[in-house]
Amino acid sequence: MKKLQSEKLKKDLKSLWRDRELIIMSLPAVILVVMFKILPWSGLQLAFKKFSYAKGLFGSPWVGLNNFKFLFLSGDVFVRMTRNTVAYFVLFTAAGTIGAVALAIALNEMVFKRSAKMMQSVMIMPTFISYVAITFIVNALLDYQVGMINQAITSGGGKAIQFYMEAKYWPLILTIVHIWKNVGYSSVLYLSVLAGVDPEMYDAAAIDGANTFQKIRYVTIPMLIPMISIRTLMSLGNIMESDTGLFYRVTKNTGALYPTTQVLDSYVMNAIMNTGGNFSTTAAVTFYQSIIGFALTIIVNLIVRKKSPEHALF
Amino acid sequence: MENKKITIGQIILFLLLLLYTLFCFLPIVLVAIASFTDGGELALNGFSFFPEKWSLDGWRYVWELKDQIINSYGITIFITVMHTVATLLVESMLAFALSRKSFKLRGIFSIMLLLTTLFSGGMLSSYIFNTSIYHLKDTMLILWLPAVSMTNTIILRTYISGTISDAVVESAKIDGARDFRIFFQIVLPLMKPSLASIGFMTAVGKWNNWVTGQMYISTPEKRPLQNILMAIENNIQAMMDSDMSMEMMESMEGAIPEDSARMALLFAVLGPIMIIYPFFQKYFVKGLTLGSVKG
Repeated sequence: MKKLQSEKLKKDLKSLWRDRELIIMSLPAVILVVMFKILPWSGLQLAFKKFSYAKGLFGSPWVGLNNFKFLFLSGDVFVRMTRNTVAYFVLFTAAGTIGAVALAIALNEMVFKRSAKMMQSVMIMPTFISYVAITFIVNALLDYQVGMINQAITSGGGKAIQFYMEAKYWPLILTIVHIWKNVGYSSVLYLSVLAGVDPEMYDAAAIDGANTFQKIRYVTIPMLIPMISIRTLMSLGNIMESDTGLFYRVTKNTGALYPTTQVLDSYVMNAIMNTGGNFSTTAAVTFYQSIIGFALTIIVNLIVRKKSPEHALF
Repeated sequence: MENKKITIGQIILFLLLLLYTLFCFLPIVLVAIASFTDGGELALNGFSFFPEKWSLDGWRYVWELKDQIINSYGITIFITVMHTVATLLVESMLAFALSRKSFKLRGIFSIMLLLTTLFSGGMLSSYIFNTSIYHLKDTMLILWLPAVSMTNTIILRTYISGTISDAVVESAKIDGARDFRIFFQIVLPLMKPSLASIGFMTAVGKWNNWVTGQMYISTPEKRPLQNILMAIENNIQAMMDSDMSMEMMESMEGAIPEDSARMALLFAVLGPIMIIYPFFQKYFVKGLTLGSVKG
């Protein structure tokens, strides 16, 4: 028995030695992952500590559930952030998916193929514009004095709106920005699915007397359903993470807009930038984010594995 | 499908799509026009597609700041190139190792990658680790440090197993080639299409990244372009304190950045990507579809 074990060990070591160059090639990636992804897991203990730079991560004193107590005592802020995070996720997923699918179908139906190609190139362009730049553009449209929209309102005899003071407009504004930036790009994926649809299916539908809309309803959309459901399911795992650039930058991190724009990520970001090391409730928020995100990814993966095993993460 | 007739429906569809195209395109046009609009006119009448008075003042302001902008351009180009090349190299080497079925550590490394996507320490822990343990605050390294993404590694691995058969690798081994040589001389050249698509997305991400600069960089000379833009947007003073001389300030009469100047600067930053991206379009379209099928 012992001899067998040592023989196996010897064989393993031999195969590792044989693959030494593969090990060296994997090392840079492995080291990066360990240093910047795995070791920072230990930072989550801060949720139960009072952090001070002087004492460091491991030396800071434990405070039990105090940080969470502060978080929950902070009144509706916590509930509001969670609500915003989840609500924007739902809103963006719905609007983004419907937009991208509609766009893909429209581009696919068009007979002027050359113009469709050119239009598509233009529609993808906003994806490559940074949120810093988008902030400038949004400001040019919404500014109280020189903004284009307010100019139009006042020249029509209306009263200018202080967009950066009124939270109620921002769900709409942020959704429009999200669509502008992302829909053109994600339609590419659906278009590539449509490119693979057998033309005979349309011919068959035509013989059965289907008009264009019926063809879309009964041939095109069913073809897209698997991709739509997989993409939506997979994105569920990231529900706790928002597009920080959109919520932190485009809103210019304006306090007056927090009721409808503050999400968990922008809260953490704000704390890192401004609190100078007092991370108590922030650490609690991060912990909460990680745990919920983890649980959701596991659940989503279970569902995906049932429905379409080839798309499951594990 | 090919010989569909040009019907009323087609024309309506065309017009609708044209409308959406304009919705995507006009904001960018507005930036361009605003950068050539006279500052006074802009302050008085606001942004417009049809300004009454044109002027080059905005661009003159960009010119005044040319040293700083060129410096930031240099930094952004440097970090984008370094980050993209390093990331692609690190990811594709790992992908190659993971694609080899006989590799004993394959399982462990895959699980490690998977765990990092499942569970994250969050932005705050990374920040504390990078600043108080690795001491990367205000260094160039933090700006270009390669990142390993599980999605990209899997795409590359799938690509390798899909295009390069085991037989090729095995016969090279029999001929006496070691793994390094096989990777750099056989595999890497064949990976070009997948590297182009992933590389382009990585590069754009880095070019547009403002978070790292904002969180970690305090020396004005080390600021990438996006952060210069932010400084301008937040407060011109933050930008001036670095290298604008007194007479320069005076020559600009109080130097409050007019909107046309901001827009000119914005356009100077956006320009390169807008020019480069059409050439890469076919690659990232391919990359996007590659990413949707997991092997």
